[in-house]
Amino acid sequence: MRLPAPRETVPLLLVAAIAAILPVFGSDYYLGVGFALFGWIALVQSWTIVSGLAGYISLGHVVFAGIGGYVLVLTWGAVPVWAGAVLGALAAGLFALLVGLPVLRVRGPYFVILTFGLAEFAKYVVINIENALGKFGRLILGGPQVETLYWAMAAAALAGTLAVIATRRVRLGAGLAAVREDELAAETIGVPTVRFKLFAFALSALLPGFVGALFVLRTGYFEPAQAFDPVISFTIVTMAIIGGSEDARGPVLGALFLVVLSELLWASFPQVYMIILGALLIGFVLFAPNGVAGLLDRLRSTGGARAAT
Amino acid sequence: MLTVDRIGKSFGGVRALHDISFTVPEGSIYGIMGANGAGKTTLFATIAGNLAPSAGEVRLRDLRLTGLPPHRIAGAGVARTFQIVRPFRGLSVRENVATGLRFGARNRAGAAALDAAGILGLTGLAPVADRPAGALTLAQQKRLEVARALATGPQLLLLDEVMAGLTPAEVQQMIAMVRSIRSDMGVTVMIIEHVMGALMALSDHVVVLDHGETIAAGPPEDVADDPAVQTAYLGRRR
Repeated sequence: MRLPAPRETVPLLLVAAIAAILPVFGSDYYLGVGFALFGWIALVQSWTIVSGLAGYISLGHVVFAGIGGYVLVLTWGAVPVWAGAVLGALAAGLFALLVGLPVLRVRGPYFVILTFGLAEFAKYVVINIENALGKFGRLILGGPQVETLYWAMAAAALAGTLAVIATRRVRLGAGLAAVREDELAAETIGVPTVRFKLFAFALSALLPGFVGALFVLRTGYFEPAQAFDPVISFTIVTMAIIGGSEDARGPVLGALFLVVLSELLWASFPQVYMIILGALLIGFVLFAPNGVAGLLDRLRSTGGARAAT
Repeated sequence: MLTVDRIGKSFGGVRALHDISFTVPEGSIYGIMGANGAGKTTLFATIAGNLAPSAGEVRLRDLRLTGLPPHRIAGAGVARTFQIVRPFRGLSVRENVATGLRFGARNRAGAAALDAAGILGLTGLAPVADRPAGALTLAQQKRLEVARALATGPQLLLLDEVMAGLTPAEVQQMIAMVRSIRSDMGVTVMIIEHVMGALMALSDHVVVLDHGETIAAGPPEDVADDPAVQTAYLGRRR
């Protein structure tokens, strides 16, 4: 067994440390912030499997969270709460398997647009189903306590981080990297590209389904336009760009950076939050394409070069 | 070992290959000659599964390759290089080779005994092993094509113009490397080359394609004297 590298231990320890520290403050505010942070970490880590490792940039990842949330409310009362959340995850994974075969045939900008369109399509399907049923938002009463949800989401963040670390280590990760670099060459040296892409897509959908179910439990109601809000997809991509998506560090750093920034700015300068966010995004795309994680690597290598001389 | 059986390939109205048949004996170096556009690379693509032929089939011993996806053909022990190099640019040279080792042939033959270090040594890439593949010179990227293909543990290696653009000294190195791949590892080699001298020196058998058809086949010295080949290459004598 290979020894864990810092790029593997750092994100795991960071998530575990934050999870352990936040409850110490003993306020629901910190639990709420932590819940959101872990939700984003789980979402961005999942996204990284198909979009970072395999290079298929999904701009519709909210669809899996939406499906998870929808399955939770549909099964509400019929099955135990956690069974509903797990069913939501499985439904999201199944959906990815079903749509993956046609969707993963296109790449580059076409895949980006297609995933975005697919998520919007799913949103309107659910809106119309709900309208036809005469439901205008569904209330969930008597869900788990904030603290319970907090720990469930922390577990999801850890699971997502572990999933990225594990995928990078095994044959699947090597195959996905080859797909990202040159899909034709990957296939020609023996990578079963179709199967690997489909598996990665389904894997990247499971946790978002669970996260979406927890989001619904936290807010206490389900409303399709909110559960399938494309801004969630955009935020995932933004966090991945800011943090980096080469390994498991980026999603943790990106989510942490954006959640802390938004908490600070919303409190003091709500008017300029979006402006600052936009400027940051442009800055990262131009000057740090591998995000904060890439910046850290660069700092370390120049530091190492200086130490060597 | 490899049987190409009445292969044809058309792109719309353009006939790239027509009724090509030959058999590559086990352990040989089999040369494919022909002018630009003669169909040589198309032939390799139909063998490796990157293109589906319009007619005919390709067999490796008793296994029908035609119709299998490329990764299954690689699994059966056929590896190819790309004339226009396709390295995994963002990965290091070592990772490129390691990916080949991790996938490739199911029953690893030939280069099976070699690990990444062995392949990097054989192909002269050890000094640049930790560089990103995209940062290599063209000559190095051509060698990386061979290294990655070898890493898949093939029984049959298809080399597509691995000497084009190399200096005479580099061509000599490449010739020595191809010979060693055949004799030391027992890999059967099919080779497309524009460098005529190199091809003649290396090959046991040569097939000459012209406009998608076979115009000559046989030992290199016979093929070189063939009037049809001289016409195709040098133009008609008036």
